[in-house]
Amino acid sequence: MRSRLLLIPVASIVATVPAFAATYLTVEKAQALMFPGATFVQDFRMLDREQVRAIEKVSGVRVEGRTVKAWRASTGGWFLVDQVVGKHEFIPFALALDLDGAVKDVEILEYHEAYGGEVRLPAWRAQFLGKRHGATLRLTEDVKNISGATLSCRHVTDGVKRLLATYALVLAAVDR
Amino acid sequence: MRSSSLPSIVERARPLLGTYVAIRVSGVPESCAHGAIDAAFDQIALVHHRMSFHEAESDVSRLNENALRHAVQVHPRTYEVLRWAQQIAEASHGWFDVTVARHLVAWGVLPRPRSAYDPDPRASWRDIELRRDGAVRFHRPTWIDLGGIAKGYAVDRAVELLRASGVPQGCVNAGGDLRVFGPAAERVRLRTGSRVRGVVPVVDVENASIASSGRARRPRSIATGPEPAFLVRRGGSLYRRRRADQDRAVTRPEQRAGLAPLPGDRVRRDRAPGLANPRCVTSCRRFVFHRRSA
Repeated sequence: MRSRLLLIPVASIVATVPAFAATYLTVEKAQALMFPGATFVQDFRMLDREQVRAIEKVSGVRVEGRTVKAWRASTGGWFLVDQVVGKHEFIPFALALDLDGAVKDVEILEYHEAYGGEVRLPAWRAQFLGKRHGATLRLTEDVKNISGATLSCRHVTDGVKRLLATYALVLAAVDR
Repeated sequence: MRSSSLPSIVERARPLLGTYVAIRVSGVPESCAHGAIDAAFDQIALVHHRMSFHEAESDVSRLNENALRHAVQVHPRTYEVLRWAQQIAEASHGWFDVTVARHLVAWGVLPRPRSAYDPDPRASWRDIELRRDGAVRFHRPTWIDLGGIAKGYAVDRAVELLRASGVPQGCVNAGGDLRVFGPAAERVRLRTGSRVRGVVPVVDVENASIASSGRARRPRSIATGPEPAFLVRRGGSLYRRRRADQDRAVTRPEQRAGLAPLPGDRVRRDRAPGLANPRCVTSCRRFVFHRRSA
């Protein structure tokens, strides 16, 4: 039979079930793919209050964390890692900027989705830390695809907007 | 054999087509896999840039702005999608209609496009002229949105490219419109918006596509029409009609409330007790999952 519809009893698989979770790339792997052959110099920044305000004003997007995780690529350009937390999603992503600060690529590093508000709770997020292969995610290892009402990628789009503003206001000075 | 048991599985995701597009391949060395995935993402990005309602320079935006005044040249891919859209519109007697954009804007699902006019409520797919020279013209004030068909098209283009690159097994998932190819069956979880306590609906698919139509996650104001329906099509293409008895369209519930029945679809009224859905469309066999009423 080519296709079967099943209803899996959740309790028999795991006690706590994120609706969906996937790990796509590590930071190092994303760096290698987005800047082939480059080496990287870590250049993390801590935003002060004024910078946060300026970034929010320029991008129209709220700044959640004050650390900017940025690396300079030896071949020119910047590699940034950030994360967005949506209503149901928790998504770390990587952004590659070219020499002019334009978007080269965006790669999603991981994707976690839950129903309800669990994603906003630190405890819910903590279950993923160091547990990538843990029992909590067994359902996820088994089920690698999900279909249903289309999810908007607006949170990541906003996250990219915020990082572009961060680049323009904070990082671009280094390139000049 | 399930794909997860194959040695090297490479999976990546990017924000494209307004959603998260994930591509997973297995059965090829990792470097080949990344090369093939890059090329597949390029194909999807092309569809994104040409057919996005949101991007100001896309063909769709240029059509919505100018096609009433003069014929507008579009990319051959856009033209092909429009041609399929028109065929599906005709076959479904207008249940699938890309001029649905007017409603989506009114509902706040899409922003108002850059356009000098308000759409004529009488306008429909019949007012779109696809000219032989590859240009498109509107004959009534209208706006089009390809969101209900372009994802399926992009998935098919990506799968074609992956297969041409020698990838034996994989899955391309554009926000739920997905296609699985290769010898191994893959398990797909169906997102239904509400949880039926204690169970997770999944479907095992092999060389098949799934298009989903659910009202989960939509604003309440437009949450009308059938409960989540999932359309599984064997053999592949999400958008292409092959024979009359295999007609499948990729539609969204915004587009006239639900998956549009096409000639050859068996419209089934579910009689099972406790199931709320009064109507659903099955495309191949019984692969439609019903959300249980609360």
